[in-house]
Amino acid sequence: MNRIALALGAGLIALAGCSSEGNNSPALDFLRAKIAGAKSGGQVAPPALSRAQLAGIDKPVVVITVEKSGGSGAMVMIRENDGAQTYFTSDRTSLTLRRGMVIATRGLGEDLMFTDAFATSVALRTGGGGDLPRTHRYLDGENHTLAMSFTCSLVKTGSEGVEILGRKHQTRHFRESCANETVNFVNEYWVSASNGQIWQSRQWVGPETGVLLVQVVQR
Amino acid sequence: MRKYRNILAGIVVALGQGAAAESASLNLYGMPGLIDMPTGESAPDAQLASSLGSFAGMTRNTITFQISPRLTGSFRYAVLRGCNCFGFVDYYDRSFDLHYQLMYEGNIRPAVAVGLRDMIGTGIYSGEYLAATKHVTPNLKVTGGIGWGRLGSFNSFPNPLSGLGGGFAVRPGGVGLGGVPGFNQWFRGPAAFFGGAEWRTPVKGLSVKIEYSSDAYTLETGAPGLFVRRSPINIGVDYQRGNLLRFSGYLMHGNQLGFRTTLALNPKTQINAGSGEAAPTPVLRRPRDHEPGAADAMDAGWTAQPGVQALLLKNLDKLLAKDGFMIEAVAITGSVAEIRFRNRTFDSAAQAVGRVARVMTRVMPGSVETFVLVPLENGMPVMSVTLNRRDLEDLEHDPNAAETLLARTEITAAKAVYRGDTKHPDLYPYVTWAVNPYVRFSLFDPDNPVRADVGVRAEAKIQISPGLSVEGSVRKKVVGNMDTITRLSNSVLPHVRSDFGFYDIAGDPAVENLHGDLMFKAGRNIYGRISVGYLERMYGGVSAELLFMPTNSRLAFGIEANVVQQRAFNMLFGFQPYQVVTGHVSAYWDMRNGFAAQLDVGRYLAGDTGATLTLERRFDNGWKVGAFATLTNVPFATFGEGSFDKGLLFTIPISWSSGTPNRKVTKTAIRPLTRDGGARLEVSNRLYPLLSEYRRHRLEPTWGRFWR
Repeated sequence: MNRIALALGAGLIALAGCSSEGNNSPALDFLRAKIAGAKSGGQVAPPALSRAQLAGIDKPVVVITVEKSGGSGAMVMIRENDGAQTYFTSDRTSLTLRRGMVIATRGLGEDLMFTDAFATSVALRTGGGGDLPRTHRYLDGENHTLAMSFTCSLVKTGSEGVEILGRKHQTRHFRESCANETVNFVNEYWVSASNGQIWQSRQWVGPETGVLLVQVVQR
Repeated sequence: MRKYRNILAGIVVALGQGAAAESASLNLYGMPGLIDMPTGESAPDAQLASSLGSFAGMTRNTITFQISPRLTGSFRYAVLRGCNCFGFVDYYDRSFDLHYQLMYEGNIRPAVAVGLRDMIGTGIYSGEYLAATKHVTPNLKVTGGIGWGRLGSFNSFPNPLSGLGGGFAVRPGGVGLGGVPGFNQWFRGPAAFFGGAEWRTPVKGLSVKIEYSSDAYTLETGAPGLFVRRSPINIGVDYQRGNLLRFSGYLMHGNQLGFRTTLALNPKTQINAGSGEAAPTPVLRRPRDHEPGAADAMDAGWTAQPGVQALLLKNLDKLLAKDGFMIEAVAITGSVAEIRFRNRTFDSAAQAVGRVARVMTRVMPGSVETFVLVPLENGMPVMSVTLNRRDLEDLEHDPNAAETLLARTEITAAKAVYRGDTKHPDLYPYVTWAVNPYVRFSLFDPDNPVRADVGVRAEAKIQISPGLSVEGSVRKKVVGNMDTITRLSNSVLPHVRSDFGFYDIAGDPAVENLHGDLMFKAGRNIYGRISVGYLERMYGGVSAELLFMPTNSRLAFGIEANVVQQRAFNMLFGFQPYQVVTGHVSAYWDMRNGFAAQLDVGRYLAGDTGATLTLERRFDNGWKVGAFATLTNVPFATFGEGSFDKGLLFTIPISWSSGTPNRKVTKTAIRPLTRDGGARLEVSNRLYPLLSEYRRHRLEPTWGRFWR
């Protein structure tokens, strides 16, 4: 009898609570978040993207891949504010690019609140450079703004062809090495030889999220 | 686990501390220390650790909090199995410790700390110490110290402090009712030296420790014969996995095996880094003067359209619904849009305001230059945030977006009365409900130190109009042993709380509460509440409250009066004869250093008069860790065991552990004892906890969330 009751109790804990607000018991929410996080790696879902799916979309599209989790998805530009373009996935993760540089992410867990990456952006157009400053801003566990500053150097390593959704691009490959006292990372850019467009890049956005592979889809 | 470590690593790296962040190890008492002895170090600021340490049938459960960078505090519940001491077979003991870092380690000087162990318990562990710790090599630390009381009981010598006065030579005895600081014992009686070393091995996370103990274990090795103390030397290993979990194994006093496990977390560091919410709507920038369409955008001719206010309200409401917002009312002129809204999702008010403001850039006609956002709490407008639309447009992708916007934003108290606005046509009555499992605990009963019930709880709330609501909560136990509480209250005061066991025995199913509330804004900075019904599980009646809380002040004052009658043990609708008029005047103060103090002065449930002082450390993510004590005109002897009411308070935001925005928090009060003196009525909707976030100084530090 007691054992049955105990099993019942355990079952009850496992049972989903329910409510009009969709807010459930703390323990359940926590578990569910854990489970959901384990399933998806907390990242965007990976739909296999094809040219056919892009047919009806008349806005710029990028494909991003979170290298740590392997999660990948298409993002559509939904807004442009003063040269900063914000792209959204269907599940409301967003990425903001300016001249192809990742300047912010939202909905990725540990979000890059902002970096202007201005010096690097200029150096990409002038063929490289050293002592490039870069500051990343995050929110810490207490929601305080946390700034991490780096010094970077950018070098051109050669010419490479890249292929994105069946389109081939002839590019110059750049490697950006950034470091401060405790963190270092490497970004890579594949830049159009003709017009300076960054077709593909690997950009580090934070200690937890790691590197994003950003591919611009040519229409 | 791995995720947690990565995040910690990330945060540590982010703070630029790198590998230097080596956390002090803990002892069997859960305090900074070697094995049983203390060290001169302290834990990382804000660390909250729960330790279970045991040897020779003696088990110590300790919660330790690094109250400030220098001050460590702990609460311990220990059991001496088979002790046959003080009239108990198994002796249970509660104790509090404080440990203060006098000096940090330097190139030459050691880290030095002073500590009071078991400073307000019955005193079986009481001892004081001064300890110094120094790294000899980066991986080897040595500790030496001098102890008094229990820590001066082996190989002792006359108290060197005797020179300060005759009183220091002898330590007065006394296991009384407990609960009172043992001022007259501290640093008195014989003293002894202790010491030891900790070597960090090349194996990651593994340390080896050795110590010379100055604790003779006189009580335990005497009549109870819990063990034989063969040697003053203890040796052990410590293994730390991440920052979260630590395990230790010991060989104690030559012949006893011991162990300790510690779970440590830090409220400053979220378990799930960042926040798992969906991205916000980006700002929609209006065309600038020189751009095409600018003139049309700025045209205010739309204001003449009939029904335009209702239309804009509907559009806002629709776009904001996916983030859980509800627009209650709008008042829009050609240049100013004022929005009152309910936030059901975001624990950060800055984030809620930021999300609504960005959707407004999409919905509001181009001529509207000023946004006024008023979040509502139970229908009450609390603060008013005024933003320039142009700042939103210009700062969205600015390196100093948060700081600059904050400097240009006006945060004031909301108006008490709104006239001529357009209200959402069908918001009321608004019904919310939830059915969830619950767990209830009863701790520290010597007959059974941990009792628990598991069951189902159903809650519902009907909001009839802004500020007017009825809510109730019913629960049914499924399984548990809370009904086995047999310890009868020996209290000589009216049994206002100490009969709690009877409520658990008879109250199944139970109506936990069922009451109507009227909440209102009585002036720019004045809020009011009247509650009628079954206010809490033991009392029903009427409760009225007024709160004076300026939006731009760190101070607030309140007054509350209640006329209540004790509810029947079956927790349904009946009452017992006991009636009382109780109430308090309260002062609330958020200090600049992150601590908050609350003083309540008034009359308590048993008719006793006195005051409660609560001190909490507040974290900007919603965590609070605190302690309270109540002194009333009830003499300690009349109060009974524990002498006066006191306890610890923990408030944990759900969003901290789930990593998704959520306005719920878990609140826990741990009282070593539940007695009748200094007992306060529990009311669901006290105004200060409900409204205190909506103030400038609470909003500012987390303003970065505006842009999330």
